[in-house]
Amino acid sequence: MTNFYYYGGRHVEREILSALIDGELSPTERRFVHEHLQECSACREAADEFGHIQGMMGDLPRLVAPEAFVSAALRPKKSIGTKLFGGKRKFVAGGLAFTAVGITVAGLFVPQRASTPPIDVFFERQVSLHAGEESGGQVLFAVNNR
Amino acid sequence: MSSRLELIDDGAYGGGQVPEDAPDWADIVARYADVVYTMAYRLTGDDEEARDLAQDVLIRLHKGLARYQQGNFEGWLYRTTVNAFRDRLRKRKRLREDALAEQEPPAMRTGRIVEEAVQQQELFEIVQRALVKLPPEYREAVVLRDLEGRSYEEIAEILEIPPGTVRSRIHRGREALRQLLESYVEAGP
Repeated sequence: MTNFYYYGGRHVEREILSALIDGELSPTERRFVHEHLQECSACREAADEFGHIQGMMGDLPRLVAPEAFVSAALRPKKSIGTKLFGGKRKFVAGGLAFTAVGITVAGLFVPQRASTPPIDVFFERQVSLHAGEESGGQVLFAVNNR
Repeated sequence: MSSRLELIDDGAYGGGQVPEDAPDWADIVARYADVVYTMAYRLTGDDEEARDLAQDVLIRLHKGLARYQQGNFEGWLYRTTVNAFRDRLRKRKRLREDALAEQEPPAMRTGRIVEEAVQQQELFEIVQRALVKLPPEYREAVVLRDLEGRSYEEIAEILEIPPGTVRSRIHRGREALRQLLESYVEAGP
């Protein structure tokens, strides 16, 4: 197959043929090329190939955006939150799990402070603090500053 | 509560000041979610990448609505998509090209009967694989021209390059696709 087609010689530049099928030539260029194509099978074949490529691309269908994506788009806060982890969800989840295990294991080797209540006492305290929170006190602040 | 008001609380409209003429966000999402996702998928060739890219695009559009002035919304949308795509390319250097083999193709809008749809789906995947093998600058131009039907002048504005460069990129992209899809092109009608 010939790779290049020349104006003024026997053939038309392939870039011109590509633009022809897009309807992007000037009227003068288009008339010249059409006249040439009537006589030149090689250029017609090249134009047909571009047309076929264009057709194959144009046949690619419009896709349906995933429902979850559309829902998230209507709630930008969540979208932005998701974006922060976008593409790295597995990495982040793995990192969090690893950190949690690390903290748990490390906790086994840290001496208990005398002031730290037993775990059951802690839960009771937390429950009572949440009860206080519901009643409108400053309890949440107190929890954060334990 | 209108969908526009639901979005105020994240501060995207500059402390809750919604311009009177701002496009309605729900309308934008309803009308362009498929467009953005499709373009993102065609550019990346990967569902997860496409979702992330499309999400990035919508967030940029949402944040930019306050500054948006009535005009060519679709041009802005395409430019935003291309810019977000380029930013991701810069960060990742190269998107996975073998991703299609690992995943289910996304649902498509088609009314064809099942057998034809299966055959078509196979061809679509072959074409999509070829598309993501193009250099990004050719891919952008071909997607905007052949999939989105934009004129050379519109593409020139979106990509911020001269129309002659658009023509050249589309031509080079098609030449590369012709080689990648050689057997399908020559066997074609």
